[in-house]
Amino acid sequence: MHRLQDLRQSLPHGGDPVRECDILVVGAGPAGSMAAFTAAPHCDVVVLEKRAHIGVPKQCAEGTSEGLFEKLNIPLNPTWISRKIEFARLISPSRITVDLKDERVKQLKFGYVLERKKFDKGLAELAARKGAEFHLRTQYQGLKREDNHVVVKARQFNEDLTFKAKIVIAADGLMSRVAKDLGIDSTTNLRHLESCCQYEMTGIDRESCIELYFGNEIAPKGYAWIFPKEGDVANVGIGILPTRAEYPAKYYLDKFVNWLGLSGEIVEVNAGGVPVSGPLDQTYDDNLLIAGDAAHMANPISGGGIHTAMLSGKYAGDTARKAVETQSLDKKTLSEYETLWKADFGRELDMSLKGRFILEEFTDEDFDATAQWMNEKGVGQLGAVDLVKFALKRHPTFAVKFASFLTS
Amino acid sequence: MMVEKDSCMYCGCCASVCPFNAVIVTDYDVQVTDACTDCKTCVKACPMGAIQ
Repeated sequence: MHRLQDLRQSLPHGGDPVRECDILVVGAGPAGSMAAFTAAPHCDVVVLEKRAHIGVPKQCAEGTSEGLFEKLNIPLNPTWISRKIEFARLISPSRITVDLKDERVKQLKFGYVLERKKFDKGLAELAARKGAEFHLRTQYQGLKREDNHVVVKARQFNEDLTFKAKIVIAADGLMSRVAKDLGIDSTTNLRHLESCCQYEMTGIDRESCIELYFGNEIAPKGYAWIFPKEGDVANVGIGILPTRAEYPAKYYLDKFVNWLGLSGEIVEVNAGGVPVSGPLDQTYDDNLLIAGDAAHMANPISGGGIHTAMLSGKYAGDTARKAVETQSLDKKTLSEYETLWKADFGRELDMSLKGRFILEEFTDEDFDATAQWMNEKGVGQLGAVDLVKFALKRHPTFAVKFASFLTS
Repeated sequence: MMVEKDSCMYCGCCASVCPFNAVIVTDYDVQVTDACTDCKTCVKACPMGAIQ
């Protein structure tokens, strides 16, 4: 913050200072900090974060994949990891369990349950060390385009601040206002919001496996989860589709905790939403790039969004840096960003959205039958053809959808 | 719309689905502006059931 202070003191009569910069990032989550980390060594980067604490409160089950950090070439600080995950367990409504743990499935590399408070802050620290300037407790208020720049108003504690940037990176999460204010409608349709509630609880002794519970009574058109953390602590949460559920997420979570007889204490309560629509139709415009949840980049089936946030943040940082260096801030130049992220995980999001629509039609009997079949067949042996054959037996209409999903 | 702040987690689900951009959620506050049309989209979105 000192740089703005310096600027203020340098003005003769304490006028209204404008902090000019190359790139303004709104939001210091994984997308925003990765963008800042990527661009800061080459450009003047400012990050605005509305909260007083980066990474708090978490709105996340904290799971992410193992190969992500190698791919991004980010040193994985061991303190960011709360638990290394060995396998995943799917649980059907009648409690038939499927362990995804044999050799072939292991190639999926389940990864880690992170400690988001440390991880998000750690990423911000990396970006800060590269030269990014951070402004905390700074609420974005509005913006306008002016002379091929974007003028952004923000409020830091009780003070109004003005920034003028060549490029704005909207990494302001699910309720992004930045993209909307630049003319891209990023409103989440209620049909595509997973409404989530989570307790971090003690007294949960689990193997190093993530548990996913499916069923229309348990979690209508979503799932419930137990993600183990260090020791006997775990994230116990639920996501539901509000258009297909009768009650709010917290109701289903309380019911789930009772159903499993979890008797530990709740040491943290979290709430949040996940955009499961698949990505926005356009994630760039003149002077603008949109990354992470703000661009609806969470995986529509799993709800996982750390990997896409970090990757899109990196691509946004790279694209913005190049645009600043070549002084071309128009949308044609910035469209390279969309090409980059689509080539990386565009297909994953498209496939998952199709899969989500199929899963939404599953009855509880379908979940049970699928679990039973997976166990009989052996999870490591399942290929796409097997799934179609199974689906054909189960319901023909469902199979047609499934086949189109697998062959797309 | 009325947000019962005692139950609110300031998570932003309401703001994200509001078709009129009428909800502003900051770090420790939530405001419903005059743009609200009482469409009740946010009521369903809220994970805490905090909006009436």
